Amino acid sequence: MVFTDRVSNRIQSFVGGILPYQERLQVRKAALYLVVILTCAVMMFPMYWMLVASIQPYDHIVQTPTWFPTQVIAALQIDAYISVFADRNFERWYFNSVLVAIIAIVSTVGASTLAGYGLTRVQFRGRKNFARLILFSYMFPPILLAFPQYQIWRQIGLLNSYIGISVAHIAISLPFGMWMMWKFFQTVPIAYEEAAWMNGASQFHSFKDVAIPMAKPGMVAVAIFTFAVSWNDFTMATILLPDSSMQTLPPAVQTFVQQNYVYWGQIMAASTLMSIPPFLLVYKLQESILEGFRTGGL
Amino acid sequence: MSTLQDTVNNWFRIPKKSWGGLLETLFEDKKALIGLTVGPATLLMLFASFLPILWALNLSLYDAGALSPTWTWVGTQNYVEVINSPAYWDAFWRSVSFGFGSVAVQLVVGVGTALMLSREFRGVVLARAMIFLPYLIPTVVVGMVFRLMLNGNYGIINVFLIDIGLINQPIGWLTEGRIALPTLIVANSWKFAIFITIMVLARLQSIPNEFYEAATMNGAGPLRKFRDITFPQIKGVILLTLLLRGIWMFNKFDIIYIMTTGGPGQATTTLPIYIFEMAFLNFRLGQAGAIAGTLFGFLGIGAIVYFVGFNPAEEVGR
Repeated sequence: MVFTDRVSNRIQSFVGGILPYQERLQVRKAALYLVVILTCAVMMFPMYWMLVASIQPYDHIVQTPTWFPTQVIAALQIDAYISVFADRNFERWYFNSVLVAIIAIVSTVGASTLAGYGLTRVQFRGRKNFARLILFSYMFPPILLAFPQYQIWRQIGLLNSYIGISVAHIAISLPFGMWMMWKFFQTVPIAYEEAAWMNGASQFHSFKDVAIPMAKPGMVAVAIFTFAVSWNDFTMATILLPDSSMQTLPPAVQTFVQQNYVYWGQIMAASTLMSIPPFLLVYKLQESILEGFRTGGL
Repeated sequence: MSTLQDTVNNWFRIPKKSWGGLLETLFEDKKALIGLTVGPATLLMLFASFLPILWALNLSLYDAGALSPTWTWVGTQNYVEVINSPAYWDAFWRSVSFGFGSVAVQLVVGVGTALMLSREFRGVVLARAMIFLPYLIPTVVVGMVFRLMLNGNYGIINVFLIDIGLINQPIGWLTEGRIALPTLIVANSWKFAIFITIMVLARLQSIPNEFYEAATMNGAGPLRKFRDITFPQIKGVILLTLLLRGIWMFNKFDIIYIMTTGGPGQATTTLPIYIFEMAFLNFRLGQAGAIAGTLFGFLGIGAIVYFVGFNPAEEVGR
């Protein structure tokens, strides 16, 4: 008898001794729900607090925080939301963020799908070392890349440009995407493609009409990952986009913090608006996210 | 009768068809296929990541200020200066404690949450969505919300702790030197533990149910099942995460910069923050390059451990 068995049997017989089987199951279920609800509460509380702060007057935020915004229910405060659009260039920042994310997603998904296909279907020397090198760059922290990128981008005129910042995001997302597509194409049996070749299809044809449709779940996962990288990125955007009108949302939010005044209402309103796309993605695509991690394994 | 046009066409073998036709021809040729598939990714990586790294390593051998256009070759002098400066080693050890602390907290929370979410219960989809959300929420949002919640004067955390009687005085979570770094670790883990949760959960879902059924038949209790089935299955993913996350957290910049900008004083100035200050506040580019060079060295060691320990290419390569 192993120690762990003894312990768990002891606990079981103790609980079993005081409760009949049916009720024991119910207790266990209740305990599970309690833990789940507590965890969800801890995870969601900051989101709740962000929402609450975004609809409160400034004085209330910095003087008497209360758990429920009772006075807001009496008079809804959306000043902060109006202010981020009226006093700041918010729609421009949002547009920048979306555009940069789109460029990064299209390039990363495109390049990594092609590379994944090439790595699985074409045998060539140095494949493994190539993959290792790419994977090594997956470990680069943004600051290690952003600092030299700033020096180079400045000289070739890519500072403050959509291409410059997108390329910086691609540097982070592409290694992961490529690795994932490599693994993904290995789960697509080559037999399907061979069947297409037997029927006279060319390699390009089988790539386009057989391999790509089967790799779609992987491509979705890479797209989500790239979106997360790009939408999240603070470090590179801070360094590579010094011009205020070119900024993406994360560094722009930081500008609401000033020497002796922090615009909490506006910050929380902007944060709420920034959280909407991730929220929709997570709710709609959690299976794809899990699928991506399952095949990516990174 | 062959015309001149035909001859020329034959000569250059110009595909008469459209772009699709061109691609079809190229896909048949092995070399062209390699170039077409791996090429774009290689070019992007060369330009976006390897060139900048080489640039920084080269820069670290020069005396370069942001304002003077000329670089003077100084060899390894920048490295000598950096390594001999106590500020560098202070930052290094802060990076180490931030890295280790974060990974430890994230591992416990992340694996626990994954085990919870791997069960089937009503509302599991909603619970997963709620718990996954922080991972996709931008770091700047996380940092700002925590800055508000942890504020020494009007933060809700202090209000809560005073209400339940745990503390008498409000605590300046981010303004007191000794607790700023641990506070950052916790706030950071709130977001990044979810990464571990997702990875472990994905692994857990691929364990065949028969394993557990067989164990139940043989009379194994829950703890035994965890030790003999679950743990061996997720051990690999945990080790991998420990290493990768350890490297990332060691090199973390954004959340620290957003929440404390390295302060109070130097209490949360880790190596990445130190690079930023050196390059963009002190304008000593050569030194910043040298610090980046040492970070690159640590990464290299991490990478070697990774490739020797996990051999990821072997696992997928055919």
